[in-house]
Amino acid sequence: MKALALAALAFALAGCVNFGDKADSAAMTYYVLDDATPAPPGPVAGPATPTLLVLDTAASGFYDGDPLVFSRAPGTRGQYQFARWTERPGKRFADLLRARLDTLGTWRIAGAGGYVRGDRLLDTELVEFYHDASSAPGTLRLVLRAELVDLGSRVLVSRRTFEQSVALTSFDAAGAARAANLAVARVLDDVAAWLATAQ
Amino acid sequence: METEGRYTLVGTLVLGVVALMTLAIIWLAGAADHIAYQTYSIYFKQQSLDGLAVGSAVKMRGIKVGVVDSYRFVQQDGEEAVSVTARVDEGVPVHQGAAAYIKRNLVTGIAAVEINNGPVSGVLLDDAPRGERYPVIAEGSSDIDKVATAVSRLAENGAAVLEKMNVLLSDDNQRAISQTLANLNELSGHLAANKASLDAAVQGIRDASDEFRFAGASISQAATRAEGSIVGVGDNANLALKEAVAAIGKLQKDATEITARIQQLSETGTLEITNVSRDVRTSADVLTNAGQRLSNPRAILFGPTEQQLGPGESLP
Repeated sequence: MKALALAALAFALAGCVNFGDKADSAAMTYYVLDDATPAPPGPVAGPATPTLLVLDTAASGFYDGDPLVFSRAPGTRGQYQFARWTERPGKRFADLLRARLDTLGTWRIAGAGGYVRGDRLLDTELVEFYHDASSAPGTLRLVLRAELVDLGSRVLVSRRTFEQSVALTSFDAAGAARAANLAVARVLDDVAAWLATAQ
Repeated sequence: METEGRYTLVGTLVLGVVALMTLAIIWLAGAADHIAYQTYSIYFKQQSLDGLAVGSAVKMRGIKVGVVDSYRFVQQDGEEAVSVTARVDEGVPVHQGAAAYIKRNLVTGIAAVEINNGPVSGVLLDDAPRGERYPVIAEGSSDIDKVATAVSRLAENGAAVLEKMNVLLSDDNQRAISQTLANLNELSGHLAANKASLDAAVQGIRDASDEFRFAGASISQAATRAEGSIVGVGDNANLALKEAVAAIGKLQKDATEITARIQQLSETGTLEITNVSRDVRTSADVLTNAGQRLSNPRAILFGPTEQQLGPGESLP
């Protein structure tokens, strides 16, 4: 008897027995951050078109995690418990940025750090990316800081900060994800216009 | 009628007298001369006017073409000059560039003004300069003056030569020349006395010359032999230099290529390091967040609380 009790305790400590499994627990939902209004394909970049290297977008650890982030009061942040991004927002935003700029044809786009030598470097940082839930349904706030560097002379050509606040259609994670896609699309529009003038 | 006829005669006579008086006045005022002559001014500064008087002839190429009308002393450019006014026949063309000089008869001493006309292609001398009443003919110089000047210069040079010869043949120089001659005499005596020694010296110089010639021939042969060796060495050196130049060129090309690759590697490496550092920082942040979650085991084991839920979320 004593041996059976010890064996049961050992299995329980080893995790072979689940005491907390609940059949009615909430399901986790994964959202894909996307460009809500992708640009139509433009002219194909020629050999004389300058090359733009795009670094992965930097972000603070809190924003660059899987959970969607919200804020009920100024100066506070929280994470959705049952909503996740499929990919870290920083990495995903950089991919969307490269895809958008590549379709325009005004630059030859490549990722930084590869074998391609570039004429200029685009460095971006997600400063804010959260659902402002201080009032229902709230807004999705996105702030992006971008710097354009000339690689030949190592000179900062231009620096600009882009801000977008998109109202949510529903006061939940799904509404926040839809608004995030729209905010990303608008910021990409602004960045493309800025790069066209800075070329 | 008789009285009126007398008045007519008197009036005619009066008019005739008035006309004659007018002609006389014109003649006396010299207006006629203005018509018949051209008047010129000549300023003489260098030449003597000895023998020249009012009425003296003015000639051109030996032919009398006018007369001297007047002369007066004037100051011109700070120098004293004699202004001679000459009247030249109207038909005589005097061109610009004409020059006048005094031509004097050596026997009688009578002088005349001779004009050397200017070039025929030149314009006529008609206009008077500013401040002058008549056109001005420049002062020239006569052949006699040129001869006299040359003779005077010759006399001056001759006098200078004579003076220098006088200095050369001074008493001191005569004594020095005499001493030199005496020394030469003594030297020639010594040479005659030492003729044998001089012959020996000449023979020695001749022997030395022969040896020098033989030495020159030997040097020439040695140089010929050395030339062949030097040419060989030069060819080898030239070949070695060409190879060295090619090697340096290749080295330079390789260095340039290596530099470009290093630069490219540096640029790529910088960007790679930037990416890696960002990934490391993000991973550290994620680990930090995970650590923070693990610090609350209850939430891991039993799920989030009501306060942790996001908008629209609810516990089952």
